[in-house]
Amino acid sequence: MVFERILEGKDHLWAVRNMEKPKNELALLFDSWNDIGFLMDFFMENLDDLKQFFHIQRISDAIDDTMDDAEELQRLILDIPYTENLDELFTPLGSADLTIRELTREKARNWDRIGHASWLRVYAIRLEKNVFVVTGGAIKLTRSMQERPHTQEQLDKLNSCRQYLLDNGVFDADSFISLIEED
Amino acid sequence: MKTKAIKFLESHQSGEQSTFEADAQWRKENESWLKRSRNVALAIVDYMQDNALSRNDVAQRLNVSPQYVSKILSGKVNFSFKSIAEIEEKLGVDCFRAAAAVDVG
Repeated sequence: MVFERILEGKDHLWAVRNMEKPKNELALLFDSWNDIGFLMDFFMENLDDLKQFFHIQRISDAIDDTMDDAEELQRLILDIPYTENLDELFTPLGSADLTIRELTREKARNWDRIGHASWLRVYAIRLEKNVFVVTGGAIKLTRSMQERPHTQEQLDKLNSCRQYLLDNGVFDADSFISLIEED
Repeated sequence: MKTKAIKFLESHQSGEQSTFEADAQWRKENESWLKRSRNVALAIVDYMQDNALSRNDVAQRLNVSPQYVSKILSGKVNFSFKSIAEIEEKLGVDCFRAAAAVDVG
């Protein structure tokens, strides 16, 4: 598994890079969220979820909302203060990630979206204080990630990256102690 | 002083530079015309949903390839007057009205 630093000169945000794809996971994610054809196919396939959970009937409305929200999320990732403090942008994925401190699975979203709640998610592993590796992201229309194949796939990618980092000893007892001391 | 995690990431880099920031910058710099292209694409999406049409159906009506329809739907097309006229005449989608519906400023 290889990685790319997202911002030159900054150590805190990285993304997984699959060399069989043209870009890293974060760049690909925002490409897809800015591709109307991709979004049209997605919302056509998931129209029932869109209607049931968000009461949106028009695919063009869902696409418009997605692109506006992606722009805002992109700004949050690139702009200070979030760039300098990603621990405020990312939150633990679920209850299992609240009970551990090392290599937690995390999600970022635009919490301040006006209208319906944001359905865009950026998924990452938190390596240590304010250091994250993005594994992917999704348009999440359902309550849990296990409910749909495209979100389950993202959960699998999170788990796979976490296991890879664990297997390679990125986190160990020493760093756990230093992390506690920092707090 | 770099931590163990940062050292690990630096020793497992792809060897290529991330495009994320440059992509974002390009979208920002081209925001004005991209918004107009996006609105035309969204008008075509409305047309497709209302008439239950696929890309192939639209391609047939425009007498173009499905790949060209995909390009139109990407939202990143700098339309020519010729292609706008064809979309308006063959699909009945008002591209100019759609493109004009942009908040300026």
